[in-house]
Amino acid sequence: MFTSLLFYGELTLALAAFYLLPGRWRLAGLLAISCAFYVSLAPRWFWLLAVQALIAYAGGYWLARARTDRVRNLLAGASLLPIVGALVALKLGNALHGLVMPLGVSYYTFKLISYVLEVYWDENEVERQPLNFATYVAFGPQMICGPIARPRQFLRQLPRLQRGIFDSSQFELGLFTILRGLLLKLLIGDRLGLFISVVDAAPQNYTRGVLLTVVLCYMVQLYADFAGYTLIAIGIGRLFGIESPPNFNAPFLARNIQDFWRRWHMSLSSWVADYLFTPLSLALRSWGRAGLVFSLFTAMVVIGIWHGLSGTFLVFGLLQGLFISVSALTLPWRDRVAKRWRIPGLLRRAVAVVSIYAMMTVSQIFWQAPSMAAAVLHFRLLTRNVGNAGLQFSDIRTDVVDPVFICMAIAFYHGAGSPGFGFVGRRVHAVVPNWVVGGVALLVLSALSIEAGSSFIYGQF
Amino acid sequence: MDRAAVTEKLTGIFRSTFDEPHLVLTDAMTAEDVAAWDSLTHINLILAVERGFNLRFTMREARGMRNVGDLIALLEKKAA
Repeated sequence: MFTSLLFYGELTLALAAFYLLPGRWRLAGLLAISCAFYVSLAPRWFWLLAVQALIAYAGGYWLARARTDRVRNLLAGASLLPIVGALVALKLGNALHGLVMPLGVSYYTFKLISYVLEVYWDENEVERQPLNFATYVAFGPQMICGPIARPRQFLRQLPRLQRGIFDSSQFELGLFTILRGLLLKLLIGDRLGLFISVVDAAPQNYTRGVLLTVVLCYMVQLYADFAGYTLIAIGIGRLFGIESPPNFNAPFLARNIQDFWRRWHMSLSSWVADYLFTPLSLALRSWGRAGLVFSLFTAMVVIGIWHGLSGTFLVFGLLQGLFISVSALTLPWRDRVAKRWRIPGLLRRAVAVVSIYAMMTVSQIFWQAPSMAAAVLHFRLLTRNVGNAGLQFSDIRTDVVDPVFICMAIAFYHGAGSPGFGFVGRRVHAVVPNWVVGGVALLVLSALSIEAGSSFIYGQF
Repeated sequence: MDRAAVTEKLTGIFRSTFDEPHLVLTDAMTAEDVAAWDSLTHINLILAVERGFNLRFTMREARGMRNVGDLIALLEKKAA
């Protein structure tokens, strides 16, 4: 969606209409644009978005007026049950009957849950203006792939929007963020995606070397695809004067697996940490370590099945639960050993980078596989020489295979926070005007994008 | 227990939980201001505060706190 030329034509018209409106009408304009965007993509499911938003709004309104904990508990339960129930029912329908998920339902449902829980915990968090609340829920740029914005972070920006100020620096930053996202998604993510889809269509036909490369591609491809798309979403939000929370922060440089999840799909992982892990581990704090491990497993399984109710996502979540529990419980011991043996920080970080990538790759085999059998087949083909027919890199189309290693390196470099790029960027910025940088980027984009239609992995959730 | 006494005791708990011997608390301080304060160490902090002040937070109290100032105000109220 965010990668089609037609979309950018429509976006230009929407932005022109938005900025032509007087300040006091801009919020209503933004809501109308967001609703039109949703209806144009998923007209059958707009009613669900509206009904769910209405339930959360009414729930929040009455929660803020409740005077006893008993009433508060009842109201929170009555609001959350239909919101969560609808998501679970839809995920079940998707898993059992192949129902196509309504656009953005996993994202906006989590927004609604966070709103109800925030008001449940603190009545001052209530938003009484229906227009503000509806814009928070329906905000178009965050609908396809998030980030899952928090109510307070989003709502506090709306008064500025209504003052009708045009912030040219924010607008320019938005354009460059979109451009960065397009480069990452179309030039890197799509190319790696093509290589993966060619080999994974019949993995038993390839040598272990090719299969291992594909498996090692999973994480960097997902990063380029998802981080790229998120950058585009964040950039479009900025064009409308709205700042979105970040979703990635150099995940491949994480110190440990807990740290990885603070840097990867941050708006989802922090949501699960705040609204599930923390309340659950607080409730179970008398259980000691068992409570912590149970809470970690629950949180990671929810992250897994948020993507879909299937065995492969469940195994992904369980593996993450295992990795993060072992890592969290052994961290103090590892810190002591590192201190006693004076292990250099750089060496420790290098070991962490390699081991986290390995752990994520193993669980990603399940995440990526269309079925449990396909995941098991990958492991069998990788570990034993069974049925490998022996096709090599040279047997794959050159336009598919040639850019793979350079694309993997670029995606990893970007996912490691692009060390040194800021320094070079400042030097370039000092002598080259922004419009030249943007023009060159657009030229590269149009010359090197692959012809095949672009798809987006996280759009299906 | 007055505010100064609460803050002094709380400072000791924060310093030992986050292993930062020179940490100075401010009302506006949040998890973002302390490197080691994340969702995992937050549980250790709550447990340490409960033990240190010999009290127990309800879920609503524990989740309703926005910063250290809120925690101090709550402790002043509960430990009074």
